[in-house]
Amino acid sequence: MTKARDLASASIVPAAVSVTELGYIDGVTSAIQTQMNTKAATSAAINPTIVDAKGDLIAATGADAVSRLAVGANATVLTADSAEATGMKWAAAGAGASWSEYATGSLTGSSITVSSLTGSELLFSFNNFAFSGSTDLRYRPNNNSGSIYRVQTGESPETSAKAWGTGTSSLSSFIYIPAATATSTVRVLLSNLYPWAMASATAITSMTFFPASGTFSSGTYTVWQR
Amino acid sequence: MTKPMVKIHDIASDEVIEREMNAAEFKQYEADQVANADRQAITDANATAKAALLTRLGITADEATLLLS
Repeated sequence: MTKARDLASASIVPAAVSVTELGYIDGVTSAIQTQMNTKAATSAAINPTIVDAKGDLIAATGADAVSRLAVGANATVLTADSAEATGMKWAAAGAGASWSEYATGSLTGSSITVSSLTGSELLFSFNNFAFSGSTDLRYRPNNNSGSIYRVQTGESPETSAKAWGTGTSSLSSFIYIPAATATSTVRVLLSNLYPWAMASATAITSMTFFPASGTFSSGTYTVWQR
Repeated sequence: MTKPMVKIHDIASDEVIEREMNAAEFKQYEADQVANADRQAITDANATAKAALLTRLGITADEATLLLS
């Protein structure tokens, strides 16, 4: 007879506990809870319920503590950030030596704003675009509505620069902005038609493109930066 | 009143939002329209004045350019 069965036979256990059930704890040599805690702390198993979606990561939030890091948006990269709970975040790839295409889309509505620009050089291309009315395409960096634009030296600054050609026919063009992250007071923008000077003292993190009147009726845009 | 639509493309998240202009954007839009109309009026007035001057002088635009070159 085992010790458990001896105990059961001695009738000192509640009647609801069977001999079989008592047999399950036969051979226990120390506190069961203590043994479970020790096992849990040293187990190599990963709890799969931490993650919820394809691409999710399990990251440490501190000593012996983990948490879910949700998968980032397409084309973003994992980067260290001590301000985040997990010490990491998904972010746009840093501007490198090579041009990278960051976004593309169709030209619709009264304006297109491209935000979260980080590159020190920016390139926007506009392909086969047209307007609903005879007009020209303007731009505004950082939502700056001040009189910061000149087409040529000596011209009075305006609140939005003249840009590409006019009319409702399809056009294709580009605008290149060097030193986009510089904080100089005057920066030059280049395109295949007009060069501009622009007195924007802050780094360019967003650009809004809009017809002087009317709306975009067709065309696509692509954004590169490095 | 329906306001013009704007499109905002956040290239960090690749999120694209298309919505009506908010109050601040619409105020700027209206200011831009006024500025554009003013600019166009000046351009048109200059073109009219130039044409009138050429007519009075009895020369063409190409001839005027030649004189000034």
